[in-house]
Amino acid sequence: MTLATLTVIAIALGLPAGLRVLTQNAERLERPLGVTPSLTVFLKPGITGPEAARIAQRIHQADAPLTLTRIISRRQALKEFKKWSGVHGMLHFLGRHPLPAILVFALPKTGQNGPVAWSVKLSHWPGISAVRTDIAWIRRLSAFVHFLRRLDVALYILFALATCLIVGNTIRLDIENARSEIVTLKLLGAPGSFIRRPFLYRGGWYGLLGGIYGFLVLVGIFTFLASPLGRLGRLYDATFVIHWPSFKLFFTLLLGGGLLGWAGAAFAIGHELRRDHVRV
Amino acid sequence: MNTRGATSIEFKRVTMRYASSTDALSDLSLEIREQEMVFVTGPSGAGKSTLLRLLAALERPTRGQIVALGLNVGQLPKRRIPSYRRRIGLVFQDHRLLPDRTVFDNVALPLVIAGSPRREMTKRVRAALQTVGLANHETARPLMLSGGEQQRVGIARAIVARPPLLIADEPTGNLDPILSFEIMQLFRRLNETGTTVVIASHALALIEKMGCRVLRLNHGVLEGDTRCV
Repeated sequence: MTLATLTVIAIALGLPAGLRVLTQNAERLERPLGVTPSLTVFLKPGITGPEAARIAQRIHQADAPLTLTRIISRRQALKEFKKWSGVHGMLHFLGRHPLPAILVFALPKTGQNGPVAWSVKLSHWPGISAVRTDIAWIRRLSAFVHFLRRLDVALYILFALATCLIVGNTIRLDIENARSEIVTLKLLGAPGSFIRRPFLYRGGWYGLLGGIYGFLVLVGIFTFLASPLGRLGRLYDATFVIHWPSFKLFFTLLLGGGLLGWAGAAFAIGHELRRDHVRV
Repeated sequence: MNTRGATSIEFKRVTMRYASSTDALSDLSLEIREQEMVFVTGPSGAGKSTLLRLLAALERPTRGQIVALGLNVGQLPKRRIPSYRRRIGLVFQDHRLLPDRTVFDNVALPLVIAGSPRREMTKRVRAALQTVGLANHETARPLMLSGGEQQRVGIARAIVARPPLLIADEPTGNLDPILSFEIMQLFRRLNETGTTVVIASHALALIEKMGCRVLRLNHGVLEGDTRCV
């Protein structure tokens, strides 16, 4: 067992785990803005809170496939702008309150055309200045996250197999070095289980150590990526905080690595014991 | 020790043929009684080692039946072979000691395999080493010992589990005459404690000195069976 082998096991275990953490970060981006895409109605300047509520009521009565989730009054919009934009000082130069009241509607998850048609229709309604649907990019993000999840599963399977093979191959070399001892043990009447046991433990240890190493590599990579990743996330959601590799992931890698190492070793030693030159 | 007791080993019309080769053993029949000490001799290629390999269930006969310790050895299912081997002691010409373990650990191996308790193991290993005269070499590594000492460690390992049958293949092949005689005396002492001993050797002078039963093989055929003097 060399450091190179351990590194390969660590990479094989760490890569899908790293992708999983990235996917979790992408999921967090998707969540605050609502997995359910939204339609935002910007009302004309000067429309007050009660008037905004009346417009929302009219939209509801028109049987639009929209669910009102939030009315943001002008005052509230100003407050949020000050809190999140970081450029609220500019408002002093304008000399007036430029922000309109906003109605936020949730769109149905299915049916692409309805919301689009309604956004066009609503933009001509009195009191409404503009309508924005964030449906497209959110659906793209959703689809991408879904793709990442699938890719992650595929990578997990692929790299699990790779881990088994790497450990199996390492154990095969160990067996090769211990061949004379194995033959002696068989001559002395050692059953297969007795001969297998040390190699199975060794395989388990290789996987376990690979898992720990893989987790450390992952933490290292995330430390390296934290700054640009955080910046990227905050472009979508100002409240974005990086999701770091968790303890749960650590134990998953540990347990998964151990089991895969054990399985790889079982495969290797089983294969070797079935070979004629060992069966004496 | 003269023939005594019930039959311990029986070969019934045993033929052993290796792939694309002539018969290593041909229609061989013989009986060895319990607590008997027997030498199997003959020139190279006579079938001595084949006979021992069959007896140790390292090979299966092409034809015939081999009964040892009440078991049909030639037909033993694979899963029962290890338990049969734990009931016999094997001594090899090249000792087959594990170089990275101490003398104690090497001798203890059959007991470790059998799952003996630690205290019992220590007691038996020390007794076996005492028997072969290596009580002071427990912590030595095999490579630190002479050829004769290594062979005695091999014998201690073979007898530590107190098997009723001891099989030795050319145990003195690499030793000088004096050491060889010492090793044979050791086998005799073990035989006197009730162990059936079967030794393959071509050291005729030494065999004659021992005055035991001799089975003489040639081209896989039993050519002579000389009883004890």
